[in-house]
Amino acid sequence: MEHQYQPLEILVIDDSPGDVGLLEAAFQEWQMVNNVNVVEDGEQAIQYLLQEEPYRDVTQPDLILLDLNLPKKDGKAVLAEIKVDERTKHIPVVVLTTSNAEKDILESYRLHANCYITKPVHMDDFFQKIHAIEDFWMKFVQLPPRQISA
Amino acid sequence: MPKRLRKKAKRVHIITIVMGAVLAIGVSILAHQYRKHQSEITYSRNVIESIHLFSLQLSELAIDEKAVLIGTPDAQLDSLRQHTTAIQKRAEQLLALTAKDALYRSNAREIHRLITKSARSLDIILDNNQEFSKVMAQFERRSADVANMINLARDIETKAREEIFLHEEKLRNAESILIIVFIGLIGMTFLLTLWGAKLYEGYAEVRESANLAMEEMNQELEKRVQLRTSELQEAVRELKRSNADLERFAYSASHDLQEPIRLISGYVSMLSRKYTGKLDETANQYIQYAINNAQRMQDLINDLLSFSSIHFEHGVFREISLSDVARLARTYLDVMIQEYQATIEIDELPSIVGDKHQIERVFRGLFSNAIKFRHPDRPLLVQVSSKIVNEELVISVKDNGIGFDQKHADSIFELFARLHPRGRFPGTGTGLAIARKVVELHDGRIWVASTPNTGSVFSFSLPIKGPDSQPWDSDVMDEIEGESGHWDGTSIPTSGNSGHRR
Repeated sequence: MEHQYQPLEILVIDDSPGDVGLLEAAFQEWQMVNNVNVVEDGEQAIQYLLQEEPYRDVTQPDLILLDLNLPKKDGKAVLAEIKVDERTKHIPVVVLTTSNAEKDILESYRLHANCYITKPVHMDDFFQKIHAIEDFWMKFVQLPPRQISA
Repeated sequence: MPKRLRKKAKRVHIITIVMGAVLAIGVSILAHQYRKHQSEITYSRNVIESIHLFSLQLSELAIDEKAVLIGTPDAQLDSLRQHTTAIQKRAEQLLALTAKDALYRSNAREIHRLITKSARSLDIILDNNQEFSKVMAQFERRSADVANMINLARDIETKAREEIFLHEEKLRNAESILIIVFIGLIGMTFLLTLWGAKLYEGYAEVRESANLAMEEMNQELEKRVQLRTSELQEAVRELKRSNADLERFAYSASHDLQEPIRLISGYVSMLSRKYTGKLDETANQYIQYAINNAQRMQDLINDLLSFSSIHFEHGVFREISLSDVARLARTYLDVMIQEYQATIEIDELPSIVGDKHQIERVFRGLFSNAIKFRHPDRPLLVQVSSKIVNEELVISVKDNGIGFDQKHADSIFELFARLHPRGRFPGTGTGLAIARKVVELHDGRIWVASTPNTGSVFSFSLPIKGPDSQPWDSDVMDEIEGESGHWDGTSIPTSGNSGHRR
């Protein structure tokens, strides 16, 4: 049945290899066709999205998974930049973070995050949430066409 | 007013009164003297006038007599008779006037006698039948009498004039004395006024110096109060700062600590997922141990966070019904209550002023504690009641659980304190520590009385009118938020509770 769905191009912005590893494991387990790319900080993320060096040849992602706790340029600043730039503001951003501080949640939505998801402690919950993200954005949602492509 | 001044003022009063009295007596004596001298003078003048008139009449009489001697017209005789009668009257008058006066009395009597005698001699003279020689003898005698009378009259006059002079002098003296007294009075008044003014000045000075001293004392006091206030403010600021630091520390510690644990737990879980069937039983057990301990670490962090968040989880202090709050806590534990067939009886409890959420935590902590340490041989019964002891509200939560040795009664409220091995009773040992912290934040105390195998009675007291103030007023929170910049105090409780409720 997976042929019915367009393969989803996902950009993960997270500096923790451990988290990224778990995310990738979760994506693999669902066995949907995804293309998961990872950048480790905010600057790289912006370069990636605008297809600047060294990301000349990447495809603009359909979905961004953004951790708030990032080195150099923090997650909220990245979110703000994405949602201000005409070239990137249409891309849905899922904030995926450990913080459940109300302030972080509110600020993220104010910066036009598309949804805010906390990383669950338990693996089962974690996998469930990642699969729900996949399900939702691949099966139920009509995504906008990519604006910039390689 | 100081004693010295009061004494002085009293002296002025006494002197004024004594002086006034002396003056009044002196002046009245003087006035009396004055009047006396004046009446003496008037009297003497009257005497002189009387003497003058007498002398005049005497000379008229002499003229009449001579006229009678030369020829005797009847008219002259009549006049002589009239004058004689008049002068007799005058002499009587003089006698009456001087009746009380020894000075003139003898003279006046003599004059009166001589006048009476001359009146008689006149009868002899005017008797035509008398011999000429006899008449002449009468005349000569009369002349001598007249001369005598004139001398007497002069004597009286001289004496009267002397009297007048004397009294006038005395009058003048009295006047002088009066003038001196008045001048003295004016002087005294002036001096008294000066003295009074000086006294008042002294009083004013003393008062002013007293005022100054008081003002100085006030200033000193104010300074000290200000100093103390600024010290207190500094201490409060320091406290707020260290509290804010602690909060930030707790926040970041809990979040940064949770990250690796979450990942450890995650990867161990991945191991068991991916390699199911490929590992032996021992390996699976090891994996389980690792997962359990990661979970335990997680719980510990959450409870620590929950504990440390209580004091800045500044809920609103408002009137709450303890019955409602206790029932709410019971509903949270419904599943466990049903599972263990426990009963939690809640009496009608009064209302207090407090943080509903925090007090609910106390009840929930005590209830779950009771459930955890229920007796295996009997269904759990928990009874919640209240009473007032020493103007404090005391809430008791009594259970029929396993109880414990009373010697541990204090230590069980310590953070992470446990009386039993973890295998038998799971938990981190934060529940009662949180309960104690909440109660203390409400200005109350918590304690327990327990008997092994019989049960425990946990009691906590709350002030009847609620705590004096909220543990954190809004100013303090504002300041903390202002100082820390990014801190959001409300986020901690949420995270703490979600971990706790799980």
